[in-house]
Amino acid sequence: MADSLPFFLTWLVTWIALMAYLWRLEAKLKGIERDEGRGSGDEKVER
Amino acid sequence: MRRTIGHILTVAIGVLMVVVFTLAFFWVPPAKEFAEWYGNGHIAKIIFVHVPLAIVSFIGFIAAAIFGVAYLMTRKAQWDELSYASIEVGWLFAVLATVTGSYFSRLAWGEWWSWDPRQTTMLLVLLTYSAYLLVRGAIEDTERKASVSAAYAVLGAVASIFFYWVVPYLPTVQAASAHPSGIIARGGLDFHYRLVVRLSMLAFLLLFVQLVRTKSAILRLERVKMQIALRETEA
Repeated sequence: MADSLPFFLTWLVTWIALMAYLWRLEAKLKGIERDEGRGSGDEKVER
Repeated sequence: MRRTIGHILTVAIGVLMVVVFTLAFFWVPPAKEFAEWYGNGHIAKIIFVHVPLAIVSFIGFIAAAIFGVAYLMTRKAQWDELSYASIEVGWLFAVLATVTGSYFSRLAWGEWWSWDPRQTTMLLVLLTYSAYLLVRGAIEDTERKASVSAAYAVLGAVASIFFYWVVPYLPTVQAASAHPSGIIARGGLDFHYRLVVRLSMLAFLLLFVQLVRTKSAILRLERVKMQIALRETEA
């Protein structure tokens, strides 16, 4: 198990970094949508 | 619709992530050649993270060039937004590929950075796209920014092909490189590795798509918001 630690660390750090970035983007998107007080981005572009 | 696709992608990414991790941790055996060369066959499993990150970053840079060409042909802002989003996300993937590669270098060769040709070409890719992000940020005029970015994305893709697929395979460079890609290319890793690396590639590719979709949606909303504000100012 200890031999697999490098893979475990690599996997964990990479996915935490990518998920944190995704959550940050999702939060920003929701924030903009909330400010607009409308539905999704697609709807807004159509308007 | 956008949200439904987003939810499906998130579930698929989550499931694949768990499956790949479980298979890699409990099912894939240590690689014999890596055990002989580096003393620990389990470090070959870093491939399941490092290789998909590098390949998906390359796919992102090529996609950015295609979106850039679409912008130059149509002058529609959404192509510019997709191109920029692909480069930003691709750049992050390239950074993570470099970091995971550096960790492998530390484990295998005892140094975090050894100026191996593979490391050097990846660094050049990173510098190329770091410059893109700086150039884009420095231009204020929206249309000029989009045109310059699109042209840069196309040139960047040419450079990427060169750095990812030409330079590392030159005979003199291959002779100087200790990168274990030769083992993979020769089919030296068994089917456990080939299966899991493909599943992992799919997981990272779906995550890339999800990130680009979200980033471009933000850019689209910001553009619409700015257009409304401009119209209100003019009125």
